[in-house]
Amino acid sequence: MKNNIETLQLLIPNVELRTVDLPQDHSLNDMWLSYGVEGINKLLAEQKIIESLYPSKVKKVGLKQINEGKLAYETNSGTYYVLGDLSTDLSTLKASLHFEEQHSKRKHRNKIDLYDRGHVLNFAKTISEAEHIDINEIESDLLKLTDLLEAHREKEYEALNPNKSKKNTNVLPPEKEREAQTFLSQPDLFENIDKLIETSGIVGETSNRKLVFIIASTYKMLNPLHALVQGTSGSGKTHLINAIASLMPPEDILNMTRVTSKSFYHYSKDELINKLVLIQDMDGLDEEAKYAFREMQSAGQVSSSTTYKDKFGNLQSTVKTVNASFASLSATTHAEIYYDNMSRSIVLGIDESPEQTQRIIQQQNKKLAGLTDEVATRKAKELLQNCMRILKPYEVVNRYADKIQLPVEAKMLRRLNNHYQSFVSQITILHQYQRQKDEQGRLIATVEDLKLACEILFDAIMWKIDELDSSLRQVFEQLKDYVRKQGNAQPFTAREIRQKLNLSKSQCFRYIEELKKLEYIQASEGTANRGFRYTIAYFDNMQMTREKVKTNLMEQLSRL
Amino acid sequence: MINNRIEIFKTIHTSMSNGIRAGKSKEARKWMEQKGLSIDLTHACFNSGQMHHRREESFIEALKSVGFLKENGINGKKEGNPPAYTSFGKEAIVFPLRNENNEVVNFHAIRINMEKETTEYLNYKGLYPCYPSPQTTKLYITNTILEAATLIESRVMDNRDAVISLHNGVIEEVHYLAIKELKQLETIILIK
Repeated sequence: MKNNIETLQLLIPNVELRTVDLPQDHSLNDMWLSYGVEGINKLLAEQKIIESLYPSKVKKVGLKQINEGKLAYETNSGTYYVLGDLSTDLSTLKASLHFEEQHSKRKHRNKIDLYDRGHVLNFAKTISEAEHIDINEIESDLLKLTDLLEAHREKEYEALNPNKSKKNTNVLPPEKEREAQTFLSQPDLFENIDKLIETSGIVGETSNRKLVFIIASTYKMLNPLHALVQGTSGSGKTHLINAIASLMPPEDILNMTRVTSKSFYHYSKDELINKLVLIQDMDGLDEEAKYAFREMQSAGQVSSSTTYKDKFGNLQSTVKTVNASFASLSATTHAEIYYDNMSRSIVLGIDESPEQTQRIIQQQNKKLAGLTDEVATRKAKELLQNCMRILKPYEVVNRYADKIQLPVEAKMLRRLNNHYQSFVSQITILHQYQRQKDEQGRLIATVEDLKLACEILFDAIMWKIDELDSSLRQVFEQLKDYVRKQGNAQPFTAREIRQKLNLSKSQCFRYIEELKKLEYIQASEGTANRGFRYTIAYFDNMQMTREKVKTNLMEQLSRL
Repeated sequence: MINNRIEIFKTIHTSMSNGIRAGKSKEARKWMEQKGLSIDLTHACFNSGQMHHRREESFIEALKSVGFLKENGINGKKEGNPPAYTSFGKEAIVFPLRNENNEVVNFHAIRINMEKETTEYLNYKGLYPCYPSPQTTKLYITNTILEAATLIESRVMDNRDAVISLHNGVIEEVHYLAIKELKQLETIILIK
């Protein structure tokens, strides 16, 4: 039998060879008599592929994509080229075919419908007569080409209309699931998560990174949250949100740099459900898109009444609704412009201190020097992604919801309170493998959850109290320090600040204008021609307000 | 007198094909039942070894010309002591092998009335059950005709599958030439 295999391989090299071994001392007839059809089927299913000793000289069968509009199919007699797009109408397979003979390189061009036998036969006949190739061979090649084109078209079609059922293909292997479950069941979950976040490559920003992570993790839940990261350009806003997004399952992320005005209205019905939307810069959204975005954030859907053409060409009106339930992370340089969007999001400021800059530089250099552990980074990312995959959306009951009073100084207190409660829920959900459930299957929030929420959300609450945005606040704090050192009454010029605080000219100008508008500083000397000198008009004490709010909240919590 | 080889084989085949259905061939049908094979699907025939009895000289000549009958060197008991003959595949289940035009050109016999079953071929031509169709994509190859018949009987093959049997596990030229003609063939499965 071994000889037979070798003979066949030598004689017919382009056919795949397999063997089926009969059980010891049994003939096929015995198997048939004892086990019937099932036995034979089972036996034939155990085929062994024989590696070819004589690699086939025949070119590999299959379509080759030469460029977007050109497919090639090589056969023994020549090459077929299919030009242009295939019709999306599945009842025809019209194709512009070029056949190039292997040796003479003569070309035969024709436009035929491969589903039309007459066309195919005619074309085969023409080539066969001109090139003296067996007509059966050409016909069989054309049949194979038809099969391949069909498969190709199907694949293209599927790529255009991704199947809903595909969503479930991302099933975790059991050992990964177990690993993620164990991780989520361990005490000090947040410290562990924070460690993983750090391993995954985010330095500093200790409270911000936890905050953004928790907000991002709400994307599958009932009350998704939204984060708006504010900072000057080059401060690492997008770095932060992209880094956190890389810890989330990539199949659930929609990354948008730019959104055109009507695009939100044209998503398919459930395409924006349980997604994490990344907006690299709010400037990329035009006015109408921002409006739609706000609607989706607060109402959970957008609908538009539009007209469409039916099969017969008549115009019909329809209301198209897009359901939306997503969490979003967006970055912006000037939060105040997006006032309406701001209120729906948790706003956080980027740490722009020189210490943080140092940490980032160190990290960058370390990475370039190859000192970071890429394997650990990847593992941390994978573990957190898997955790997200196994988290289930639960309803949460918070028995202490009415016991906590957020500071009344905060702007938009109603929405802030809403955010706070959702935030507590999310922390409970992240602890879902550790928390108890009530008889309705809802998770029960604990005091620790509330405390954690307060700690992590505290900065964000403070940004809502402060009328200066985060970058302006940081500049103003530095300015106050500088002025105090100079003696409070001493007026200063714009140049002094620019040089002391290491700001660019226009940035400095903008800050001064802003502070002037809010009457934190005022021009005390000089004219527009000779330049103004400024003094600080209002020495606020943010540090103290912070302390006050914090002790207030802590007191409330300790009473629980 | 039949002088065309194809015609001779056709006549022999018809005779044996009727033979397995004849009332006397109980043994043959019993054997087929034991093997779980049906006559219709496997094209099995039965040779009692008496085809030449009481036939005219020209018919015997024709059988001799294709090698179906051989003089065994003994003189018969009949009047005039005509030479006696040994038939190919006496008391055997016979499977016909066909050429590319689907004409019977060869026989394979399994002698069932022996102490131990023996098999024999008449010549090296033809394929059992027949030449595969040009549309075949998957070809099963078995060592013996009995296995090929079993595979046919089990009806596990799809439309574009086919089976051929080797001559006792040996690839002859006839197999190679037949396989080479299958332009759409993708897989060969050898059953060992």
